[in-house]
Amino acid sequence: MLDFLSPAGIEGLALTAWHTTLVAGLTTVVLFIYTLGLRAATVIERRRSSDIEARWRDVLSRAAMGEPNVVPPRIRRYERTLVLELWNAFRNLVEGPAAESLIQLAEFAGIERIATRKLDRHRLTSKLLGAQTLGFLHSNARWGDLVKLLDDENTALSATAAAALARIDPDNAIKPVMSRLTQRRDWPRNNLSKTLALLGSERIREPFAHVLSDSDDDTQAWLLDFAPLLAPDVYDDIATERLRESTDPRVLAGALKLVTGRLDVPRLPWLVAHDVPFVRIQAAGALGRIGAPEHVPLLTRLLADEEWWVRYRAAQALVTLPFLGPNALRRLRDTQEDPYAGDMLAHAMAEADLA
Amino acid sequence: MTLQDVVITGQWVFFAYFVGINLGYLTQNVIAISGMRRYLQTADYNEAEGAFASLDLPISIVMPAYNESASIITACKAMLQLEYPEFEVVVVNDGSKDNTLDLLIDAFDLQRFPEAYRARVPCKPVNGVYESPRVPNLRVVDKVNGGSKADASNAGINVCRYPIVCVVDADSVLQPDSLRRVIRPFLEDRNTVAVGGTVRIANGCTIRHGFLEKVGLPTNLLALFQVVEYLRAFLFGRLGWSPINGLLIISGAFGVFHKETLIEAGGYNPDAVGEDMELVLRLHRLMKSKRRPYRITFVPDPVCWTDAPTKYGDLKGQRVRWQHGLGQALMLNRSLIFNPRGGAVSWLAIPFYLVFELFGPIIEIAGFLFLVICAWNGWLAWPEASIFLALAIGLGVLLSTSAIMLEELSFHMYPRTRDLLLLYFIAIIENFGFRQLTALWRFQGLVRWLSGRKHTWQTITRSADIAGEEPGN
Repeated sequence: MLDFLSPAGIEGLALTAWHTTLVAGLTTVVLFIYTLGLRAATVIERRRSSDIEARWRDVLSRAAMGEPNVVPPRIRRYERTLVLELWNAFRNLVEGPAAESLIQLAEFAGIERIATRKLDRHRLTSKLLGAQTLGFLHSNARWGDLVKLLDDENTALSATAAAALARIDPDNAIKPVMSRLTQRRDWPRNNLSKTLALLGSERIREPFAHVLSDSDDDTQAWLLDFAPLLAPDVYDDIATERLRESTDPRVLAGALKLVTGRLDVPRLPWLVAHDVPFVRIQAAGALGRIGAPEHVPLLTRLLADEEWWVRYRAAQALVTLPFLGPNALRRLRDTQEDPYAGDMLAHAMAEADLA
Repeated sequence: MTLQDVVITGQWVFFAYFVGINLGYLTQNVIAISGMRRYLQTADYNEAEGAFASLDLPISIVMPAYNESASIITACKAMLQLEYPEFEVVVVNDGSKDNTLDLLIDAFDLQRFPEAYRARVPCKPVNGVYESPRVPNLRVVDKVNGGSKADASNAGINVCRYPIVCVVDADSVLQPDSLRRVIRPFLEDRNTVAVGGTVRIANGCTIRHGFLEKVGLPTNLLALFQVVEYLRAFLFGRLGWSPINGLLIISGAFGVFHKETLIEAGGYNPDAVGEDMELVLRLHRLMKSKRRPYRITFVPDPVCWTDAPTKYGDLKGQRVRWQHGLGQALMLNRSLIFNPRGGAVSWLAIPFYLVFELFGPIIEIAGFLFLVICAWNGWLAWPEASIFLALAIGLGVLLSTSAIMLEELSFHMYPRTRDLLLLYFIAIIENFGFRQLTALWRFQGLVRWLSGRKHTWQTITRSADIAGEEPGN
């Protein structure tokens, strides 16, 4: 009956080829059936999902709008993932009383229990959903597990755990999250910003400054991007200190980005003439933000810089200075000896509709 | 050497080639399936947590246009409506002979602007830069025709303001969230220098106002073959090379680059026939020579839809050009081949492309002739030959089936079950004629490159008004 497996007269390499053909054919058929099965499952899942969504969207909307005594439907086993996803989506959109109502609804519906189970699952997506839900619920039922997840090798999972901890209890989350700040450079910047914002500028103020001062130049340059999440007076101090002491161009550029004009910038002439173009670019931007008349000669010098971006930022800064009107700018443009400087100022003036 | 020795040696050469190419593809397939699984696990999460958009890197979209009057306005409007916090669109009118520039000026009230232009990568002279007071993130560069998309792209790159540059074809239809998807690798790994996305065939889809409204399959057989071909090429071809940093091609229809690295590499090569592949190879070469860590990566999301040629002559021209471009790109960057510091690119990807993609058609055509000669002279052992033929077809169908399964597992873009069944049917029948035909065209492209003949640009007939209002076919 199975003669086709070893046809008569076929041997050696050809027999191996024949067997490989059979395996390839069989695998193709299996994949074909599997794909059709996937399609069927998708169709059924979509139908089912649209029913669940319709039911739960209504319930979640009513709860978020503050309707009292909203009774959630019973969550069946196959509905769990979708309900959690929907609840998270709604919860992500609202804060304040609406969020409280959603949390109350979740308590009635037993969402916390489902989320903790998800956290125990092996599948990454389940863990992610569990951690995210516990965060939105402000539930510290699995605090220890979430702290452990901060060190998980999966970036998404550890970053989600950090955000969840920050949502659940920002006071207690400060230590575990901030202590991993420099170790988890893999956390996406967006996610880390969000987590730091959840922790709150007042809470992160000291640990952030501490981490910053203990870090090497590379890490400092990276951390400075998050400094605007702190209170303005704090990052003013951070910027001033770096500009006074650092020699690393990346740190200097990062600190110059923070300059707002509230404080004097140390070593300004040195920064404006710095060898590294991106320091001069940021210096030009900082001079624009400071907006002092005595800095016009520095900016005019940068207008003739060899780097296009330095010239551009200097021109933009000059155009934004409130005490230089269109006539003064035109005069400045027409008196430039360097043709590139004149062109760039004309460009920036046209952008600002001052041509 | 006797004739018998030639036949026996020939047999072994073809057999080694056959085993090598199929093992290579199957390995890519396995890597792609595991890569896709990993990607899908975190994709939704990243979408949900990506709310802090102010740290997203701003993007400059460069759209070269030559005689695109039929579709330029719709394409431009569609680009401007993409979902992304901060981006600009730079349209480059490459000396169009039609009224492309006039249409743009009228539609967006463009005004000539005293742009302080700097040519950081070489290109033909720029006549002027236009800005729109109504649409601040649109600029149009009018330049002298440079005879290539590469030259126009370079002019656009020179004008870009943002650190990330996305180069697209004027007839590409982008998914509204495409920028958000392709920027992710740049955010996740700061060593990323280039990202490619999956390009799909737009023929048969319904496109309105420059956006994809409904996905469908074309009725044209050649376009249908290309649908399966693109699924294979992107869903496991590129996804298979990406995890080992061995990606050699980022489609010219949609590619995203770190601007400073792109400029450091010298921008696009206007003399390259396959400028997209040549650029990626040059980026590899640059980063390896500078010993800098880098990633050239690929996102499997279908981000771009493009019009496929539906006429025999057009398709043949395209394939001949691709093969010519492949040969030229590999030749121009030959220092990468077996470079001690080259890693997966030098020791796996390029040798694979060299043997199986570039010179593969020689073996394939020779194999076919060998078969005919042997059959003619009665030297062929028919049962054995039939088995090997069945195996070749079986493995071909298996690879296509696997690509279709990956598509269904991940993005299931083709909503009708009969579309899925049609794709399977095509995956089988493409082995009887189409694949042999493409091998022949690739062979012709190879001969053209080896003979040093200059490539002449052809105008491909558009089968679908993909940037217009009507459904494509």
